Amino acid sequence: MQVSKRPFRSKLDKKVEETALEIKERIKARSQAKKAHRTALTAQDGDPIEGLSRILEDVPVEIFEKNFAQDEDGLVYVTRHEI
Amino acid sequence: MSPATRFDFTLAQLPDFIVLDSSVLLHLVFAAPAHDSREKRLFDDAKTFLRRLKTAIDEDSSCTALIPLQVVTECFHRITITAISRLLPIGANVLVEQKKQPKLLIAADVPTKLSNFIRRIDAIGIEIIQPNEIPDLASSSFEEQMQEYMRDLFLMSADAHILTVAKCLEIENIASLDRDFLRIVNSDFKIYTSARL
Repeated sequence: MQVSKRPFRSKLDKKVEETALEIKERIKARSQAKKAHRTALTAQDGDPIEGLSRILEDVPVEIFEKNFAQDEDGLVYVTRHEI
Repeated sequence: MSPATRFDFTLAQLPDFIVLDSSVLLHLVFAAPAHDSREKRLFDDAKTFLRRLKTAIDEDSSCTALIPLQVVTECFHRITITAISRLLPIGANVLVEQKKQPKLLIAADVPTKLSNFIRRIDAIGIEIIQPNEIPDLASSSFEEQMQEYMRDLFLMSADAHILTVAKCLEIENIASLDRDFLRIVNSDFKIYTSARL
């Protein structure tokens, strides 16, 4: 069996205390910096929102329907772990 | 009058930062049965919300959307067991069978499916919050805060985890299509969801 092996870090990174605001701004900047990457991914894979619904396109609809249960208003999506 | 705490995510102005619960993404991954109109409408609303989100992220950076690793884990798990179930007889216990035959994971092409999921998330512009991007809370530990949400809002642990990450990052806006999350308006949070939920 092929298992990719990567070493654990030998030393922990020095912890730098950041405020929630600083972290959010860092994540926002990261998101903004990835715009070209998103455009490239969309050009390669197509519309990502439609693409989410195609991830399991090889799974028969009967199996999908087991993700839903009946409640008082009709069918409702449920998080079942046994399918 | 108290400020609004529930918003229709197909219409309301999106906030500067929002944390997504797994239910929004799962509604798109697991399409509703065609014969059920209510679930179909929720599916459509989730799609509309993600389109608005992508526009807000790409066009003027007016909104930053985030998911905790807990959401990734939940989605990975659901995709995995559904993909494996395709290879098993209807009614078989997927988790038991996968323990007996771990290579089902490969036969079901799970690594490709998970990779595709992350690529879609990435292309939409949803950022995954990394472990080193969760600051400590001032008043309690992460797990104490989780327990408080479970006790006070009657949430399951996965949902309490997501709320706690949002609390650590001081983000009050949560997008969800899970009815359990409607109770978070009784706390410090605002919920962005479908009007049909």
